[in-house]
Amino acid sequence: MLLILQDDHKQHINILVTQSEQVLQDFCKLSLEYLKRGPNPKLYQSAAQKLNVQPEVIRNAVEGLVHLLIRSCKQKLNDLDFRDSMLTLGFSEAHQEILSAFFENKKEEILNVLNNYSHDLPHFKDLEWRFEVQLASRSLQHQITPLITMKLSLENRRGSVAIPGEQLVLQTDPTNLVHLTQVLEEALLEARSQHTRRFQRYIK
Amino acid sequence: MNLSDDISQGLKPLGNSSAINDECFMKLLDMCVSVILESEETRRLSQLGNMKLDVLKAAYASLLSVLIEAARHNVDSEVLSSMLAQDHNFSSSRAEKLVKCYVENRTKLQASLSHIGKHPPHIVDANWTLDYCIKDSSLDHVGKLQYLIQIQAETCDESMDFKKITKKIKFVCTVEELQDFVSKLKDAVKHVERLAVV
Repeated sequence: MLLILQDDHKQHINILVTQSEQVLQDFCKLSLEYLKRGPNPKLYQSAAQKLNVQPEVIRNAVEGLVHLLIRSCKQKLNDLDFRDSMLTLGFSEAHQEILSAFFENKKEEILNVLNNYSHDLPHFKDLEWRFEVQLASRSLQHQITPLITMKLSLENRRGSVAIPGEQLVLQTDPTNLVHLTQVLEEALLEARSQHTRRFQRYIK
Repeated sequence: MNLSDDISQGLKPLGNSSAINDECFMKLLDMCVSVILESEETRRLSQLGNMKLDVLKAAYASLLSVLIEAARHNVDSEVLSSMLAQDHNFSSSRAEKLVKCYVENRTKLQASLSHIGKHPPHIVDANWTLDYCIKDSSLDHVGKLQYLIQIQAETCDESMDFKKITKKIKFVCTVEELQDFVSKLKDAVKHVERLAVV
């Protein structure tokens, strides 16, 4: 499967095709920097002076390269597909090797980020619990009410960053605790059931 | 269990059938219980018969206090009956009726009282779905299992006059995260069960 790029995207990275290997290496570094910390106009300015082009061209090239990596990861290209795609774009063998190494190097990380980008619901992070017996309250003295108080910590994931989410204090009685545990255990068993495994095999 | 002077005063006409007749007394008792249990709409006192409304009102308030205080302190039926007879001059048949009503409804009254106060949301149920994500906007081949968990917890809504509402807590779990969650819950269950045996 080859990567198919849009025309303006192709145009943006076209400038890299004619550059030396060293320059391409530098662009890979710039893309890495972009992935980690976002755009850095100062660096693009100096790069533009060296290559004698507009800073915008540099920025487009960097963003084009980043987009190329993300697209490749999104489609889960294997090494061969990636290599062919690069050659089709007009890169030389030497260029392709640099890009392949770069892709190989960052693939895991980008995939990880993409994996966490899709849903906005918070993730389960931790559960702390304590068992207590309520002995009295203002409205009812002399009671023995067993209670389980829990702190449920959730976390939001935006790409590779985990943002601490809500911390909920909840309470329940022993009967409901057992019920809750049973319901969720059932859920876990379902992941290992034949139906689920068969489906996973089938859809791969 | 101590009753204030006002309440004692209000109890006076309830002690025998001269001021408030038996039928009216039983209706009053019923009203008190249903008000505490929040089981039905409150009736108007004026519907109980042509008695002095202020006496009736005081009697009603006192009866309500007696029932609540007795349930609140988990007072013994004998203690209650002797207190009514000795401290408030209740006739034995009146005291018997009140104590009978108290004993019959004690558990319910106490259950109702236990709901008053501030508690964290109380978990009552959970729902889940298991999804296999095939593709999403940022990845063409995802292929992973994911749980959507919804925990239902009962709580009082402070902005809505403390009406009871069910709060729904939604979050997602990977299989590993759910394993972690369940193992922690199982820990708690084990602990509670061990204590229950002792």
